[in-house]
Amino acid sequence: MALSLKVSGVKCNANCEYCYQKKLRNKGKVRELDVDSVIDQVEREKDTFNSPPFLHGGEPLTIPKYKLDRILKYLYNEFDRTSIQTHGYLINDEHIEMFKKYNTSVGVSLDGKGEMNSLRGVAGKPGSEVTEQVMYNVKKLKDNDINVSILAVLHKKNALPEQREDLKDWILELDEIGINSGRLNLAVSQGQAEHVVLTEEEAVDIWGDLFDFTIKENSGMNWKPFRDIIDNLLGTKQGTCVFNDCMYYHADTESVILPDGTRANCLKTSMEHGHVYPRMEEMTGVSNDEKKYGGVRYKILNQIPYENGGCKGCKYWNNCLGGCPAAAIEGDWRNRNKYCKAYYKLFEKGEELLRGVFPRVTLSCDEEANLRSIKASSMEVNSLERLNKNKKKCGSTYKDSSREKKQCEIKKSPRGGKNEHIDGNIRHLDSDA
Amino acid sequence: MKLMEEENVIKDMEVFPFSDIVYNAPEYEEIWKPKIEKAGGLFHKLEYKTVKEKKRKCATIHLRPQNFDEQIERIQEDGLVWLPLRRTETYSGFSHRHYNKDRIDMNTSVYGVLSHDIEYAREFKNASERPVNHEILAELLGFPECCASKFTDSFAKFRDPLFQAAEESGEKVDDTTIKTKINIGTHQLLRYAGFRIASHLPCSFDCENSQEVSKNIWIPTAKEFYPEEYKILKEILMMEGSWSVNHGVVVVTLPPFTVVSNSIPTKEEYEVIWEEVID
Repeated sequence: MALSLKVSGVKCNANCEYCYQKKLRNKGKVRELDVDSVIDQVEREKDTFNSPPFLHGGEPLTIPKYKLDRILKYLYNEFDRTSIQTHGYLINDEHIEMFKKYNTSVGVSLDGKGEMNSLRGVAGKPGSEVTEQVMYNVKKLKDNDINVSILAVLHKKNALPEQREDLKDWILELDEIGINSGRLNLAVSQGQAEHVVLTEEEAVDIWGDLFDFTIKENSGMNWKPFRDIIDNLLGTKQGTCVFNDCMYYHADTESVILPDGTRANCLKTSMEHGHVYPRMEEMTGVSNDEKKYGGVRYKILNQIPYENGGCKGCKYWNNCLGGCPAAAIEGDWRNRNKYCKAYYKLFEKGEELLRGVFPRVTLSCDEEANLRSIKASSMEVNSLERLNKNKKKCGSTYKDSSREKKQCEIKKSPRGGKNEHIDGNIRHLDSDA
Repeated sequence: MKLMEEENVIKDMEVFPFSDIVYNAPEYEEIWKPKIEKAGGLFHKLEYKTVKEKKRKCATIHLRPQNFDEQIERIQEDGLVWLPLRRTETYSGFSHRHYNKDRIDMNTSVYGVLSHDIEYAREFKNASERPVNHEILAELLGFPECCASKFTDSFAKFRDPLFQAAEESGEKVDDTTIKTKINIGTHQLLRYAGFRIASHLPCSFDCENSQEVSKNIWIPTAKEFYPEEYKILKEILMMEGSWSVNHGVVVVTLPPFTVVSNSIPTKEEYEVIWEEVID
């Protein structure tokens, strides 16, 4: 779980057309930044999270520099490193000095070069100028040895077949300057940007293609969600929050601290009604087994037929769990994710790839995976157990007959202890700092 | 033709009882939590009180092992009688039906009939035997005939027939949405959290018989014996809101909070919207 510090609230200098905070920006309560309250709240919660809190917004660089410095300094002293997710346009030399001083990883939200980034506008500035400035800042961050990753959103301006080569060239260009990781998320609209989001078929096409491009055709790339898919199938991690059993009203895989120090849950859940659901004390420790706070989703979706918006019979149910509830069909968390086919395609490709290399691999979608709970990351069987060279008849990557399989001894993984937390460091969809 | 038909419901699917309240903003918790705690318990008090005051012949209440001795003492002291009907599994939240149990343990409560007259209680118990005589039960509980008849007809098909009541009183917005006015005495759309005045499901949200029952029995009892709780309950019930069911989960959204509970496993979302509640 990660803790997101919305230091600027929903205040932002940019005007991204598909921004999930639009409804909240229009109707939500304006909260002023109170640095002491934010730090006090982090202090109370810091031990409950397994990665350092990251700065987010709105646009976190809209806050005064002396306040930014105070927050980063505190976080650096506590965690030895810091991170921030930014649109990137406002980055200047003073920020860069701060990032160096406080060992800050910077996630930049950028959808490509030129026209590809045209939906991430800044009021009063030509789109081309904004994009050039952000790319310039990205390069400058790298020149200063600052860790940078990119959060790109895929939509009709950068992900259609006619834009494909430009998008891939841009990914390669980033690779050349030392940026080989980030996210390639699908734009999601609950009414705010229907004209720019991809159809499900377009999403299948772009993700399928980028899976091949970043995993198979180019080595050393670490773009998500494609890397998540591999981890997920191997049962090593559930991956990004969207593959987890996220309770809609208690979306604590991205727990939030608002600028006035108030606790809240993932703000993607504000997309439908503009509500900011609180993180109440009584919610602590609640699991979806209790069906509370939207956890019932994981009791019902696998009973609902596909044609009715559910996941019944899906081979990858444990891997995907219906996807992010805030990105569900019709904006209704009781349905599965609206890009189901695109996720399915990725799991299919991941499975094909892994079985191609290791025909005897056990994947978390396999019946014999022995999941301790509904999550793929709770797999009890070591995926590569059958490749153990010390095991009789089991030390091969290619002996893949069912006859052989049955003779293999499947040993319980030593990490299967009841109290062990193996979800790993779940990061949230809208940060890659 | 009705908007919601049997074919729109997923067969053989049931969501186990639960009920939840979520605040729509962090600051609403402080304001609304104490109010909700107060108003949420009023209905059960009224169930009992309307019988004690002889405004109704019977009510149904559960006796729980955790405090059955106190409950029995109270019933005796109040000059009432209670007859057991069935043993049911204890659940938290809201349930649309009983989960029968044979044995009694700490997770079992006993569902029974409360009355101020043993003859009424016996009559109720007899009518509860299969085949259940819903007309007699409704009469003893003080339900209007029209509502009892509608309920008997629709409950087997739709376990939580509130959309059906809205179809009778409201206007169609689209193929799955109804907009309707509601009378405070017929308001059952928030019952999952205990927010309601009367105990029966109305045949329609503008049912005049239901309004009469509320005006003559439930509201005066609430005002006389629990004025503070009633004031808060009324504040909640008078709010505009939406009721939405999908895949067996109902979400009722009011401006300050959202109620989530179990309901009919529809194949797609059905919604009731109300912008006005008539006092």
